[in-house]
Amino acid sequence: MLQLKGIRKVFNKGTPDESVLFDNFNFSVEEGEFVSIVGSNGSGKTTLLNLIAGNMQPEAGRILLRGEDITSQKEFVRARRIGRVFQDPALGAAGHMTIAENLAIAENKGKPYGLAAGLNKRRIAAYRDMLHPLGLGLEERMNVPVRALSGGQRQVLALLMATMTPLDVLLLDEHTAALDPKTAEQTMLLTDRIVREKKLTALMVTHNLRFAERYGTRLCMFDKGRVVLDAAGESKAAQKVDDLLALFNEISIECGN
Amino acid sequence: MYFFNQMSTILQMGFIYAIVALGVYITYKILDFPDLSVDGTFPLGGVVFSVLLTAGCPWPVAMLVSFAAGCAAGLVTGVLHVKLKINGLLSGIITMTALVSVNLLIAGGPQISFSQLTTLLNNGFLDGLPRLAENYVQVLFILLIVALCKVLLDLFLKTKSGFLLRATGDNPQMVTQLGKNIDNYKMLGLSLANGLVALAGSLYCQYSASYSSNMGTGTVVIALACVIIGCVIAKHIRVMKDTTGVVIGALIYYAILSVAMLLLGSDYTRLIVAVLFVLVLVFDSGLIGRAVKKLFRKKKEGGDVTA
Repeated sequence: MLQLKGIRKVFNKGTPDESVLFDNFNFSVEEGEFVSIVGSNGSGKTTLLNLIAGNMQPEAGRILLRGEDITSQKEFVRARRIGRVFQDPALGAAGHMTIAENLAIAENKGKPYGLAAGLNKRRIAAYRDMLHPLGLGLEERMNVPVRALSGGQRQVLALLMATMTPLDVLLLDEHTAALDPKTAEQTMLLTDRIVREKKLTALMVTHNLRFAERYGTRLCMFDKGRVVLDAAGESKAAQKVDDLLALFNEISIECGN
Repeated sequence: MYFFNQMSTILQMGFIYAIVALGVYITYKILDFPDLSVDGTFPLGGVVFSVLLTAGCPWPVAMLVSFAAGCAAGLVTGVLHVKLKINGLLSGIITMTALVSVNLLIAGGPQISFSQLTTLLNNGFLDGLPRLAENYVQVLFILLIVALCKVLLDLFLKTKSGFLLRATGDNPQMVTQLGKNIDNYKMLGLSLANGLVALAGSLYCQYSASYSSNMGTGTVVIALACVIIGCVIAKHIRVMKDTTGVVIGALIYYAILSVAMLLLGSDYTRLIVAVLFVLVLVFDSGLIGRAVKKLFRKKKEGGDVTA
């Protein structure tokens, strides 16, 4: 359902620092897959998400979403079908607006934003019901500006907002990396639950090998713009963190770091 | 008597600049965009109003047209910034510079005077009142326009579009994620802001019953000072909206400015405006607060030693 064909991506093009990251890179994701992507810095995993989301353009190649060529579509046009959660919790919601306002604005995605009331008071109860199972007490703080929340709370809110409306692909860009281990664990559990419940197709970039091993239906390891490990189904289940770490060390040593 | 006269001037000018400040609030606070086109759109509103009025157009229509002219000028700044990718500060400066000539061309000279024509602040009803009462009824009329602008702005900021406008300044990535083009919301904000500023310009001309080409100088600095004062007030009073704070901030600012001008003379106006702006900025950054605290601590420590 998501295909990248013959992608070429060059950084610092035309300068002495020019470096080719992807050259004739092919990658595809099936409907309903939850792909975890690991790899060292500079391996191309975040660039892959950027190419799919559209805030980066490939030099060559095509990107297809449900068969439609989206390569030349602007980021905000693609975003109508693609949800994204960033590493920085501040990017998920508007900090000066309240929790309720943020949820309302996210819920309206895909519909026109006209002159109707931004926050429908009758929906607040529904928002409360949505926040209650998280156990973070956010349902009691509906009128608090989001910037007053902790990073973990903001990230959970960002995750909810990104998945409130129907979407084709969910991109998770190291979304637990800025959180403390316990909050990261909770956020990861919630992510897994949402992806299962909504039967989402998701790509998750992570530095946490344990998350990559435990969650998702497919595991990919990237190195210098190539996929060095791609395991789905049973072969994914057979992967152990130690094996991953061994492979990861191997490729890291190759790079010389 | 003198005091009441001065007071009415402060209130009239304060409320006129409150409308400018409401506009600048949209760009500076909501969109986080340093819009300097305001120095050009304030007189643009004035000149459009004056030319239409002297051509026989009724004042309410002339005011609406000045609002529209301001919106158009703001849109130019927006297009320069968003479509041609010119830095925000420069986009505003370009529009402001171009408007100097545009205003001159529309006016056909440096000055237009219309003391005999009917306007919001000069009409049969007001002529029937005693001098002092007339001044305060004028204040009331301007206040009504301020209230209308403030309430409409507050209402707009609570709509779905208003939410997106606020989110655009707050977190543009989120607006993109919602499938909306932030460029459109930046243009909308700039347009609305400059529309309000031009509307204030038309009121300013009605207040002085004339247009003069130099009326725009310093508008940005005055308005920014009002906005910053207003937002500090609103931050410390929980129930107060930012927009209410901005209106009060404009009154406070204009009161201080008037007193300073009375003491030093009107030649010093722009210098006072500049110095006041520096004071407001320094105060807002917390520099003065910290210095005062430090001073007190030192005194206390010194006192302990002697004791």
